[in-house]
Amino acid sequence: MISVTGMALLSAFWPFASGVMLWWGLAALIPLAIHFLSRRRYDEVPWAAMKFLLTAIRKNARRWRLEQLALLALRVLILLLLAVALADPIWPLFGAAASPSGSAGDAHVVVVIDASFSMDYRHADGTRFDAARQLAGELVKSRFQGDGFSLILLAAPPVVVVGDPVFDREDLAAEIAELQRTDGGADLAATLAEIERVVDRTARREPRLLRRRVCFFTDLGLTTWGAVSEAAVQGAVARLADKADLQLVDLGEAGGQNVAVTRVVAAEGIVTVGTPTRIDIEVENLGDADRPRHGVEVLVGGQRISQEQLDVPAGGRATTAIVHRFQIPGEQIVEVLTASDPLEVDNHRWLSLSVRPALEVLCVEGKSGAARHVALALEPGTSQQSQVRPSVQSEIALLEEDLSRYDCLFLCNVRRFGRDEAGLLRQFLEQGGGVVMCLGDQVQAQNYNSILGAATGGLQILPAHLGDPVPLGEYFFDPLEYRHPIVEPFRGHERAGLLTTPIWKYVKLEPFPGDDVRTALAFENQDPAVLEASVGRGHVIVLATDAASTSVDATTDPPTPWSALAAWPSFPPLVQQMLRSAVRGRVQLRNAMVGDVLRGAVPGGLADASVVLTDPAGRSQRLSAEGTGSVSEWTFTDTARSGVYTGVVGGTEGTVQRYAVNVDTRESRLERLDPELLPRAIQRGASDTAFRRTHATASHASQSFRYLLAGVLLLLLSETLLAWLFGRSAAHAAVVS
Amino acid sequence: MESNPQSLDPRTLAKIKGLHLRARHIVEGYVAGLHRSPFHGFSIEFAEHREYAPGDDLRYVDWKAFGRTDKFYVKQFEDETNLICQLVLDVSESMSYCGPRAALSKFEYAQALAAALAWLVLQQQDAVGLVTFDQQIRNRVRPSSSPSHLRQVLQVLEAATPESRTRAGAVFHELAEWMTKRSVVVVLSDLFDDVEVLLSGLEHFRQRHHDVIVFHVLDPQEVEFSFARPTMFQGLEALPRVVVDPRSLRRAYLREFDDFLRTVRLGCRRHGLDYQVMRTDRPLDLALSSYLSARASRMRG
Repeated sequence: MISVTGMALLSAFWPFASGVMLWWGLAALIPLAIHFLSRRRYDEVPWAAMKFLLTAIRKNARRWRLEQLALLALRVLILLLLAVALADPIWPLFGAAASPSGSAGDAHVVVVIDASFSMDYRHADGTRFDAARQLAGELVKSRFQGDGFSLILLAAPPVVVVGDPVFDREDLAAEIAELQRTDGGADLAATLAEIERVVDRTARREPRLLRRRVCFFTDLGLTTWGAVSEAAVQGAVARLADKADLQLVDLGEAGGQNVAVTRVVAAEGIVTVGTPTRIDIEVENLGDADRPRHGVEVLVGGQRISQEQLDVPAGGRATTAIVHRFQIPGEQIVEVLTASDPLEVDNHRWLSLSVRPALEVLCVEGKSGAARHVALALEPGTSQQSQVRPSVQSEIALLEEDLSRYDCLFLCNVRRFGRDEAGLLRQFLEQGGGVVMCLGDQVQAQNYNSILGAATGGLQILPAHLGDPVPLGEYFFDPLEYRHPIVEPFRGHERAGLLTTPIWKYVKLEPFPGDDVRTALAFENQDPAVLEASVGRGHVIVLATDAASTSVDATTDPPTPWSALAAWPSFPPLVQQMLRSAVRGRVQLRNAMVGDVLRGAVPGGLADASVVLTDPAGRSQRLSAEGTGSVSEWTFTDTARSGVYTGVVGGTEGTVQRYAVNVDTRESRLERLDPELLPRAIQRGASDTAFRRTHATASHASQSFRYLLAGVLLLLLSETLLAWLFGRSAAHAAVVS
Repeated sequence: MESNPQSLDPRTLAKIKGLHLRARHIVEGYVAGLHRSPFHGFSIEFAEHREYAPGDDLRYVDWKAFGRTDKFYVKQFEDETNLICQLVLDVSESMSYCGPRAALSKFEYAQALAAALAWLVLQQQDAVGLVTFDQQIRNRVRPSSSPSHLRQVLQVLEAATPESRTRAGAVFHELAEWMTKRSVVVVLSDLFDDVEVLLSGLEHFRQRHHDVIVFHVLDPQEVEFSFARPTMFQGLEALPRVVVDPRSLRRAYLREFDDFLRTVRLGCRRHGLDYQVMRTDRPLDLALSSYLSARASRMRG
């Protein structure tokens, strides 16, 4: 009966591939029966030398009893172990699982699968993600009927595939089999928070599910799991461990080979037709072996334009650059790909470039002539094919013009802004446009600060609080070691005039704190002269002084101009650089990372204001644009895959918008978290590769029966040896009366 | 001694009904091999002198010869004796054991041995007596050398039945006090009693100047313990029953039993007693003649 009860309990708390074979455990009753029957069958003889017999028994009874029990236990154990081996247990990774044909389960099992793209690392028998799906499916199938299951992807952001528990194991296994990994990384903290929410909610709604278990299937990539050293994550793990058993299946392994394209950028923000455009390419070897003559191809519009072979040392980088002239206007995709390796995802990188006939710039002047020098600096008229087309207009143009036509706005000595104008500027910036503000004597700082500043109700366009104009004086620029791209071309060209530009007056700028605000150029007293900041997807640049000679200080006689900047030789290149820096948001708008939100503008007045977006897998969906006025905007959030997303605005014949979505190559690194650094609350269910190999390649989850059979053999040998030592057979002696 | 083809196997002896016949057969078997008494007498005719050697009994030094010759001589005597032989037979229940390999129980074997000895002694015109005992003296036949005395001895032997517990040591003390004349005391028993008390009782005989011969009658199964199957041993003499697997117990049992035999043997040697194990599976006449001839040799030597 002990054997029967034991087997029943065993099958209730342990998963077996062939649970029915446990009935062989009843054979363990045989030695017990023999033992008890043998005590009832004996000869009877009278005996004279009883005294010696009793003495012998008394002296050896304890030893005999122990020997007898040891042998009996050994024989029972042999048969039980044999039955367990025949039943083929599925090893403790899955904890208190049970036979699929068992009785009702009471556990809530949360399956968490790492969907970061490092899981796409390919071994001979498939990717790590394939192994994770298979093992997770086997886990689900091996559980009790009645257990509830949730399914969460460890991703950034985490994806709760099944939140409220489902109870159909087959359905969930099918769901797991259909899972797709992302091309992104994974946010461990956010995923733990999601798991905790799911566990808490299930505990409230399904009180029947008394036990909770969370099983992670992951490669323990350091990019994801490095966060376990953070106090917040450790706290989250500890909280979760109080509510559920945490187990982890490590599917990764140390070392490996991976070469990734880590950078593809165009030197120019916006490319114009026919202009030689330099594209910089960087390839990084994240593996532990040198990759000599590693192939790199560059394609534009699907046509290969370059093929190179780079020597990429282990752990090192190689860079190259190509120069290409784009002949067709429109949005072009540059694709860079390297030779194949086990992790394919990061072998590609795309760059979306907006190729224009010319850059469209609206120069708004608040005072007549305030933008004249700027426009001249933008388009001197020295070449036949103009790359910049400036349009000088008065302030009213901000409301009357379709700003989406323009790439950049130069606002020169504009007195003040209304809220409508400010709203349009904000929208323009959100869509990646560039705004350059050149201050002057007309500027009403209070209006700027309240409407465009960071004050309550302000639209947060300005990067700084505008103060009063400084007193007249002689001020010169400090290039701040030419660190900022706007002044970087002046490096080594001190005679270009930047340092000698005479400035007599300017508006004191007090930059807002934060990394978004950068000082490109300062005065020698370290007051900012040129500030640059990101606003939305666009960029704002503020020049603290006048960009023309129209601003004067009337307190002197004759009036003193604010600066001679417009007449100085450093002015044209400075304006050109400000333009390039301001419009780079247009490029950034079309280039995103996996998980980013894609946004696009739909010009007003179109009959069909929707967008048909096609993802890299070729699946299309129609998106509605929202917004009022001249421009509405669409957004798309499901960018889990890297590649080219193509939006068509205004029907099949409409404008094409191409977006390049790339992977974050931090995930390309193959470093793993040392499993010993995992919080103790997380039990490792298997030993790395060995587990993955045996479980991922075999349809049968367990090989443990081999070890059990070896144990049976060992016990048989032990029994033989012990029986021989104890006197060839079981011994017993008992005083009957 | 060589095996006598006419030796009486216990199985053969068992087929002979009647103690008289059994005794006669045994004696005839013995007489066919020996003609001289193995027993020393205490009142005997002088035969010859021999020079004294250290260890000789000083009682037998011939002082007259010493006076004449100034040398020590001891007197030696002819075999013909008028000794008194007291047969002391254990009739306790433990003597009734008869193992599967023996044809006679220990009691039957000792009974036949006693009868044969009585016959032998009477044939030498010496006196023989008999005492049967278990935890006390059961029967007592006074010594007599009358040829008709054999019948009385055999009757008592035949009437004895083993059925009670043993207290051999105490009985020996009692007998030693009772036997006033020096005798040859022949003890026939399995000696299953407390060894210390037992040896003390036997020593008591020696203290009273009796010549003591101990025939330790044992069943071969008691000596070898060769049971093969689980067995319930029902203790005789009010000892408990036990169920054991004899194969596992054999070594331990034999260790205890050998200790007992060794203690008895050494004790007898220490007290100057003749000690002889008599296994009930051995031909009785051979065992008897073997012992007696060895004893005779020792006495002559």
